[in-house]
Amino acid sequence: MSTPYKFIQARADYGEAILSWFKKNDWPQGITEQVAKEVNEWEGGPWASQMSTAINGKLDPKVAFFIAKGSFNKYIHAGDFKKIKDQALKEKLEGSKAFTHNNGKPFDGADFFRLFTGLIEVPKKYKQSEGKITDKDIKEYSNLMREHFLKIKRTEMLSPKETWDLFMKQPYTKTMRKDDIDYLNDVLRDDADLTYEFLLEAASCYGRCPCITVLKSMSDVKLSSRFIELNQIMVSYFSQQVAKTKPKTKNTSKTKSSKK
Amino acid sequence: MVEHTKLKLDLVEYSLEISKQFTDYQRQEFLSKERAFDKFMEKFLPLYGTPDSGTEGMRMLLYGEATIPYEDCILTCNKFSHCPIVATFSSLMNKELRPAMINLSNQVISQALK
Repeated sequence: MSTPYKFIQARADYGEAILSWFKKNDWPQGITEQVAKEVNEWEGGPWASQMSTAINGKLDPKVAFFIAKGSFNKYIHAGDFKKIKDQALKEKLEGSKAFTHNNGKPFDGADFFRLFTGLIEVPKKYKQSEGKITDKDIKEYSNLMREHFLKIKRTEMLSPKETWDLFMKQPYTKTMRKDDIDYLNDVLRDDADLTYEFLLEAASCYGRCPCITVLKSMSDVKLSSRFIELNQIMVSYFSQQVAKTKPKTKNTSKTKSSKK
Repeated sequence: MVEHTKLKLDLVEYSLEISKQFTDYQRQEFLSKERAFDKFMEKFLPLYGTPDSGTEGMRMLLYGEATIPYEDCILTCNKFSHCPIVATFSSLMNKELRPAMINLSNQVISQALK
């Protein structure tokens, strides 16, 4: 059973740094898992699901995760990808760069652990600037949401109304507030765009983007890499904004942090 | 006179409720504003003909950009003894209509027919 999610700044920073590293290399989240399986020289991935959760600042990993991460980084730093048989994967790795300190020294497992726990700072090159979310980003996110909804509609051969009915049938939708559902209906019909306020409120109430959660469960249609990336940026940014605005209290309760 | 001042005030609120009902309709049928308006008029026109305030007037009312003109309200109520807009929504939607809109509709008609 996983530990209930609780916002921790160092973990959110760690997630942002990893995301920034992946973006610089133009890597998908599954790359660490793909490499680990192909090379087969170390245990423990890190697995794609762990990377995704880590990027969202929600991973509470065991030691093996950091060791695997260090091994992956060492492998990237060495730059010898002869063992990789998958040509597409090899191409993705060519010219990519390891995660390094400000002085260029690559991170090992222990460094990743120090970064995760906030014992060391995020190297400058992986720091994302504050207040990075712009109206343009939010508009793009709204468009990507609509595009994906349309992709589901086409793939599943549904009418717009049937696609919306499918949206309404998803288990997660049943946990959402009516006003939020109405608002997402407006967004998906292109009658409204997401707003900063809505995303902040969603981060506070759901701890994630409720729409993408529902879209994922509606169909096997894959989310575009840009949609995933922007979602991670949004979740990470707005979680931090929520944490900043919430009064700090001692966490003594044992209640689940996920809200419905 | 007092009654009709109240009617004018009620028409403002009633128009607002009508535009909210139109949004409910768009959401229920997952239609764009334009498509929802076309569907509405497809039902409305054969039964009631062109609205007194014209098709554009109806569009503005449904989009929440205008209020039902007082004179049009009196004319329509005397002609049909019910609100054609509510009747059209009723035939379009499978969910219950907004109670606030229904209440206001009843109030408006009773005042207009006095």
